[in-house]
Amino acid sequence: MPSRRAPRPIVRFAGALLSAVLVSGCATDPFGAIGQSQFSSAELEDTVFFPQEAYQCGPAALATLLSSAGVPVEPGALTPQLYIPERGGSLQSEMIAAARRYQRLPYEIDTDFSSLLAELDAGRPVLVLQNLGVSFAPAWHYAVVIGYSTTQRELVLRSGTTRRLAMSGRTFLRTWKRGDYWGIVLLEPDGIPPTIDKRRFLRMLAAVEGSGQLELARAAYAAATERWPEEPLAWLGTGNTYFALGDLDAAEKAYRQLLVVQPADIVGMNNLASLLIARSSCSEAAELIATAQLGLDDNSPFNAILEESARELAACHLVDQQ
Amino acid sequence: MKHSTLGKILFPLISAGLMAVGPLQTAVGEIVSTENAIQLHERSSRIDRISSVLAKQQIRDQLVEMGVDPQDAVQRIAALSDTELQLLDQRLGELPAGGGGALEVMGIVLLVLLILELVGVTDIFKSI
Repeated sequence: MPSRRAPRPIVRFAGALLSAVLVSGCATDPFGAIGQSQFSSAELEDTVFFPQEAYQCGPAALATLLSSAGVPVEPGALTPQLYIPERGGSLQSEMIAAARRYQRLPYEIDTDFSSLLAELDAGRPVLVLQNLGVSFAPAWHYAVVIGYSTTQRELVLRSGTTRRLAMSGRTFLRTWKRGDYWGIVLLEPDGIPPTIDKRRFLRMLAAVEGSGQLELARAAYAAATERWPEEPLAWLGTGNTYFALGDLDAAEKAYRQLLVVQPADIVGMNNLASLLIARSSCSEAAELIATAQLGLDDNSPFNAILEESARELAACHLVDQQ
Repeated sequence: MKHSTLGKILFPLISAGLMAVGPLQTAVGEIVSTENAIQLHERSSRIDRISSVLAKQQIRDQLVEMGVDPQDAVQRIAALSDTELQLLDQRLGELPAGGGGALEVMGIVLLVLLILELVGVTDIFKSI
């Protein structure tokens, strides 16, 4: 008897599960979930429009975003920096890299719907990645969200060849979700919004520094140290950027400030030591490296770095003796 | 595209010396970049210079294979950070490439899917 009856609860459970999937399958209206009092509507009507040519939504969308951020540029100028013919499209990393080349900070917004609306309220259009197809047959597409209306329950986009595309919140959310909720806004160093996420902002800045956009990095790190004077990474980045720019005085100052806010910072000690070696201040550099090496266990990844610096130090002393 | 193993090892080493690898390369030693510092804290690993140079070479070759002008490809990899190079390495063919052109091909499929959605078979999308 149990063998005959056993499947029934399972079937019932499967049925419940299936209907749950069906219900959640109809994407919920994102406008239903947000606080209606907080948001009403916005439309950045002045946002320019570049109708995309075949496969060129990346350059078109980025040109739209850059132009609205005060950098007038035509999609055609971006194509050589963005387009991959065999893929018929552009990669997110290269969209970000291209924005940096035009001295703007590409900041990835939070992945929730209300953050998207908040950006529009703040007057910043958002470049989004959508998957207009399905996961097994993706149709990746970049568009720029320029507005929304809670009463119409829709978003307004500059998309493809359509200047003003009104898309239901439901549909948009579905396509945006398949693009992992990826969206960027362009910021300037002197206009860092108060709502910014510190970690994500600093990570983005590290990439600006790492890609060699040093002037942009310097200005943005200055804003970061002003915003978060206790944040070690902001001082590290300031020091690194000045060091790369060849301004050793400013770099030294920043590294020393880093060690004020975080005295045991190994990278800080190492980089200050490297800088002091460059200035032939060998004995203080030796002290720093020795202090940094003190508390490390054998398999710390910092060992290799400090050993490298210790080797530089040997050459430094050699110079001393001459 | 076939390099000998020796060439694979030597070429990047030589070109590391020839081309400016990054802005942080100075005459005296090396400092830890902020990107590397973040990686060290989060993953206890860092991007070593050789693998970064290798990644640059591979991505450049792949971009050219995929139809990008060789000179553009050089500029494009120069604009990427170490973390981005790591992300792109070996994955140029699979990462999302927003084009929008696929829409033309997808038009009919989309229409069918749209009808399916309207009829309420939407779970196909979600469950995949």
